[in-house]
Amino acid sequence: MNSFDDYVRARGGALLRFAYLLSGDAHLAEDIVQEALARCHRPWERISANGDPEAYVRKAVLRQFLSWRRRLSFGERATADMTVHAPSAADGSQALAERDTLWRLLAGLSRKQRAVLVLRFYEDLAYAQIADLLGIRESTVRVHAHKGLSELRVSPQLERPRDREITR
Amino acid sequence: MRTEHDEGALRAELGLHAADAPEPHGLLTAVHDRSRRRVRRQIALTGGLTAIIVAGTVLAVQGGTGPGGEMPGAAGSPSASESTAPDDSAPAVDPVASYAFPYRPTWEPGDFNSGYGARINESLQRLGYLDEPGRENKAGPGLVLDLYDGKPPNWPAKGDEVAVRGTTGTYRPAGDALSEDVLAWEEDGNFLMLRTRQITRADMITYAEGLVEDEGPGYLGVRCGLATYQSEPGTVYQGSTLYESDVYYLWTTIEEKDYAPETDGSAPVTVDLGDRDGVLLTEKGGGERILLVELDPARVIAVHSHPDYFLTDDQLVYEALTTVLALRPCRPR
Repeated sequence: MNSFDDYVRARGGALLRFAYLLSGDAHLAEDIVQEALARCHRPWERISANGDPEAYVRKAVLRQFLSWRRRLSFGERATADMTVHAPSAADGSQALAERDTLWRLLAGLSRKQRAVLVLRFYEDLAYAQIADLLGIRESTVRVHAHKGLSELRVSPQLERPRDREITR
Repeated sequence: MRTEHDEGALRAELGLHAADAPEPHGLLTAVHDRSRRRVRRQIALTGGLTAIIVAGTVLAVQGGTGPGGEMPGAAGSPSASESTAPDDSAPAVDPVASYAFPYRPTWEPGDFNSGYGARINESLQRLGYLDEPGRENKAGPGLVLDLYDGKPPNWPAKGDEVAVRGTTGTYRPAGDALSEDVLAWEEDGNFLMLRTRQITRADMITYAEGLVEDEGPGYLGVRCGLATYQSEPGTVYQGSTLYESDVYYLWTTIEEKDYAPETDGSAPVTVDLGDRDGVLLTEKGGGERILLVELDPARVIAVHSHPDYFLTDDQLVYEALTTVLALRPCRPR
């Protein structure tokens, strides 16, 4: 696929989903993807000539996300801004409430933990591929994944929706 | 919870929420708009800077000022009343005043002050510091971040691979071939080189990681004093003092083109100032370092540094660059 426009038409939706899972915010996801693609536009010929434009663009999206997180880290946390689209515990569904909580917990992870989990469990990338994308060692990726999953497991918040369900 | 359950729940959760991502309608148009804005911004910066240098040089050739320090073309002067130029009421964008290095540091090692950003030439932008700590030691810490839009010839070919800013960069310590430690990495199609002295590798990485894509520092000390300079060779038209003392550690003079200070015999060093070349000399005896840059066919700018204070080549270049840019009417900043 050589044309930049063709690429955006074909992969724009997937990139937006990827950015949305990373950032947890629809507007920010659009901003991240637009900025990443705009930066790739002019050098597209060189990028596509390397044979794997998808990896390059995904890395650009990741970098935008990591940069955005760096800015936030000096004043605010993203956790409170996460948009919850799944129904909450109020509809009586324990499973949905748990997903809601998991989504919120995911937002509280460090940027790299979150990126690793999204790449691993949404994009289904191997640890080696994630290491290449993030420019870190595979062992470090595994540590991020382990710590991220551990935080999701050990957090007492995971139990709260169930507790609330029981008391209702 | 068992791990398998966690991972399964996580996959399901991510898949469900992905469906709530924004639709790609209009994405292509938005990307093209943003890309065009980026190009226009870059052209405005580069073109505007060139225009100012050219305009400044013309002013210098014309003698700089009229009687009483008026700028050519100022209100009341003959050239202004006879001008047929259209009255453009829209305020022109000042590419120097509006320039900002595209990254802002959020952490700096030691006691660095007065960070500045400057476009050195069409392909190189620089973030540096005018007040580096330990200058009185002549070899204190130093830090400069260069951003190239293409791979520069001085890109380190060898070195240690290091993880920096989500990518793999190269760290190369100072050695026989290099006088500075270098941390280099590629980002968004740009090539960034952090060049330092007496700063640890860990601090270099921390500095790089702390850079945010935001408006960084811009030009400092862009002055308008040269327009009123009464051209007598050797007169200090601008000096900078250190620690509120009366001693200049850096000063600039305008000299005739054949100005040739007696040197200590060391080979002159050619310095790239973009559209101009400069020559760095070391004066005989006192060790004062002088950067000479052609201002016009008849004159040169001489940037002098006090021998008791260590000033980097970049600081002298920056001074010369802003001197050229200063050839313009005063404007409040």
